[in-house]
Amino acid sequence: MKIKGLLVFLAVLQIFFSREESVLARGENFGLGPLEIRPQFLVNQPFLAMSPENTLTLKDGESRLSFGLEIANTFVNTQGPTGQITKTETARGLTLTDFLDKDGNTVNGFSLYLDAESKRKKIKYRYGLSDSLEFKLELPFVSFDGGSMDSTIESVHSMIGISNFKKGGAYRALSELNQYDYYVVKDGQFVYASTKQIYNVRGEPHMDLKWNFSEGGKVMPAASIKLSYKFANTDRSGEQKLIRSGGVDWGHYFILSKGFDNWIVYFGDGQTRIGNDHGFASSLYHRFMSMEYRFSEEDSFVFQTVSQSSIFPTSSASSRSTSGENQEQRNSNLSVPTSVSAFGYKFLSDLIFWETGFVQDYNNFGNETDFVLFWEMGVHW
Amino acid sequence: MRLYSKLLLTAASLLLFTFTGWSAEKTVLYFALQFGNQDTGSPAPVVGSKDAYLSTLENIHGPLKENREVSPKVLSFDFYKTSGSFASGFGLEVHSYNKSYSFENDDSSVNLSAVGLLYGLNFYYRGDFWYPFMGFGTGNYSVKVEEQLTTEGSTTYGTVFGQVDKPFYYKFGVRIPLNGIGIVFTQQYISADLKVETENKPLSLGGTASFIGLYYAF
Repeated sequence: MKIKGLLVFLAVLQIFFSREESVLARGENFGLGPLEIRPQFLVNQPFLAMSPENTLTLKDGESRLSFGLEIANTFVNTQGPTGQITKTETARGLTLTDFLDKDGNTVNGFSLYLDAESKRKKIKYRYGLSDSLEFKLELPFVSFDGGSMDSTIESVHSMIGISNFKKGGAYRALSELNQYDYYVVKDGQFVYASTKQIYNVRGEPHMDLKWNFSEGGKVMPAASIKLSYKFANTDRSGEQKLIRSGGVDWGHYFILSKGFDNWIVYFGDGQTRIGNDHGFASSLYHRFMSMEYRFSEEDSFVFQTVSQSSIFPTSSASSRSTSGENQEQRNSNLSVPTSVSAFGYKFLSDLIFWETGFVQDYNNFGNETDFVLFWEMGVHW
Repeated sequence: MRLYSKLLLTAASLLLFTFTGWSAEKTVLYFALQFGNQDTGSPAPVVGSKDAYLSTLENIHGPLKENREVSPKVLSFDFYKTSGSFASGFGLEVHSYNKSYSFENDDSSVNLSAVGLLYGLNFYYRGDFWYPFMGFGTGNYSVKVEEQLTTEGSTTYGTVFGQVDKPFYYKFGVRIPLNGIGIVFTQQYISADLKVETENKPLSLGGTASFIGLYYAF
């Protein structure tokens, strides 16, 4: 109802303010678009996650086929402050006792030990159903391994004065470099416990339908709405359960864009509904803001911030204690909405499409990736 | 290091292209650093409301020893597209501050650290000697609240992380250009309430703020 109300409101404003201008000003509110990067946090990977996108759609009959790669380094050790999980414990394999608090009590809510690099490859096909309606199909292939970025990240931390033995450096120094461990504990029970690296597991495909219902004008922004639907693959045997949710997810994104000469500003607000949440959040809220600077008609620099609610629901754990800050208090940052910033470069010619960039967290919460690099390239006809 | 070099190169390219690609009459870019006071206990008129978290603690631990003013550092980036004497544009600003509160009746304390990333639309008049502006927008605040509360000899500890997803702000002010650099005065009103789980009461991170700073235009 809120979306419907907003659409009606915008439509009415459009009629009053920019009906004559919109045709004359066609294109001034469109750029190459925001960075199309989804949340890469490990626990989010099996679920649909709405990603920012351009308001502009492909024209009737146009197609774009692209291949993308997103590499994310994630390290979270909720037992870091007490030194309960170090190289010694990971070498012998973690047990539930490693996730008790320092007094040996079960921790309510979620505890994590995540040390992984995820590589999400995606094949995307887009097609213009009309001049303002676009269809997209995306198929991911996901790998989880130890990766190779740990030493670089720790070096960067050291260079800018962040200790890898403390919270700012995520207690990385307590663990071996480039190892793979994936442990999620909820209320004293394992949800995931895996040290087996996985390569190119086919994820669940999703399709999008995007409608650019207004090109905007001198006053009003261009506006589009995107609907996404993720198909369910119920084969979750072995480590495939880390990649597939086995349920149908769907979501929407409402996107605005406004041009100021060579600058284009984008704003989006959306939601993902998770069909089979396995004890995690049943819906995720997303919001983004992008600023694109157009070097030319063909290439742009983009700065972007993305906020999102957590995949971890709020636990019933008490946020007060009589014995100092405890494990449950520290872990409460897992359920907090979080934000990341991203920078990137986009290129689009008549034939070639290319996008690259990186994402960096700035909140130091335990529900986000440390560092993401991404590329996407494709052909357009 | 290679990544860092690429970032510097990208930033340098951005500045270079910006400088050579636009005439000064059409689009203006500003970087600004501002300091000032923000009264988090004074709700933003129309959009704000009185918070209750600290007043609830005051009922138990006595009046606050400190006032509700914080001193944010504000780093902002704005660009405007001019049309005659009028301009419209977009702005991005980062606010950060820390504050410690203590109480009259016992040794209880609350520490607050907040970072806000705000963005929105600005409208602007280019006069001969001064450029008044107004703007509004949204963004997010990330915050950590640490409590240490003493009641009848026993102490409880609490840590609450949070994010305000949908703050709203409006502001007005004036820029006084002085040959490329200039002085900027801003009066800003921010509605950003965080529900603190320990008391289940809202804490205002915004309020009424006055800033002064320097900007660089190019």
